[in-house]
Amino acid sequence: MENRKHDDNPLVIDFWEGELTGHRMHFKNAPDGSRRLISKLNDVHFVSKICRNLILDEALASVLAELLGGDPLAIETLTFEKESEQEDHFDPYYMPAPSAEEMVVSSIFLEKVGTRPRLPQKLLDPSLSVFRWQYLRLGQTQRSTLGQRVHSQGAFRSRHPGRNYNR
Amino acid sequence: MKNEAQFEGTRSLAHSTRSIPQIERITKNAIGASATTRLAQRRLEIPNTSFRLPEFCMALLDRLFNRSTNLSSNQRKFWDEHGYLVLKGVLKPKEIRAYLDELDSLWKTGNTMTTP
Repeated sequence: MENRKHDDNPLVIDFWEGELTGHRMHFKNAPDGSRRLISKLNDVHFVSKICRNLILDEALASVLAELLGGDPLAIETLTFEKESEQEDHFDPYYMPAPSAEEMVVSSIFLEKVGTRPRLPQKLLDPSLSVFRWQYLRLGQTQRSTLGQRVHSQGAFRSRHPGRNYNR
Repeated sequence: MKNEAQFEGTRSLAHSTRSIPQIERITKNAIGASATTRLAQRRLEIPNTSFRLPEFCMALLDRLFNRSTNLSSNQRKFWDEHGYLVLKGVLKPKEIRAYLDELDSLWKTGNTMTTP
């Protein structure tokens, strides 16, 4: 793919600012100039080898594999160029892990974070069967990428083939 | 000491949902309680005064099966208690710079992306 507006561009973007607040659209249809808006670009690793190298960096992957207890089976990436503006939410609802303990989120800060971000917090409520994550609050010019990995001893395939991980 | 094949049953304990007392019991049955203490002192160099069986069992399983540990015990403890870790300097600045450049490129019409 050589052009953002090419029909084959598979990326999807969400906006949380201005007239586009709450809109999800194909990246190829995002208006020129919309980069200045608060947005979330989804799954850049589908098209970017550099992104894949970043989120699968050997040093990072080995730590995550240890926390997961094995290799990941599925990965999604979210790239923020400003703060996420997302309310607290339960990611496993959207990318369900086969069991509650088998999801790890890595937050890669691409630029120096001036203010202390709100990092994901594990909600220590035994009545919940999933982890709850509070999203990052970044400064206006700070960028980060989240790579979410799901692991299970059993078979797990994401409905989106680009998210399934094959070593 | 029993041979390594007899430890196969304990291989999955490190990430099982069993409680610490259950893991202790299973591990002690596998290697023997007296050997446990001796190994703790000799292989892990843990003094008697600070020896704690659950931590030792987990460390011993790591050593026995050469499972790599990328996290220190303090990091692991922090992860277990808080659910997150801050790892500084894991990624190379060059890698980060390359991705920032890629993002700039992604937004430009007519960019070239690094699809394989």
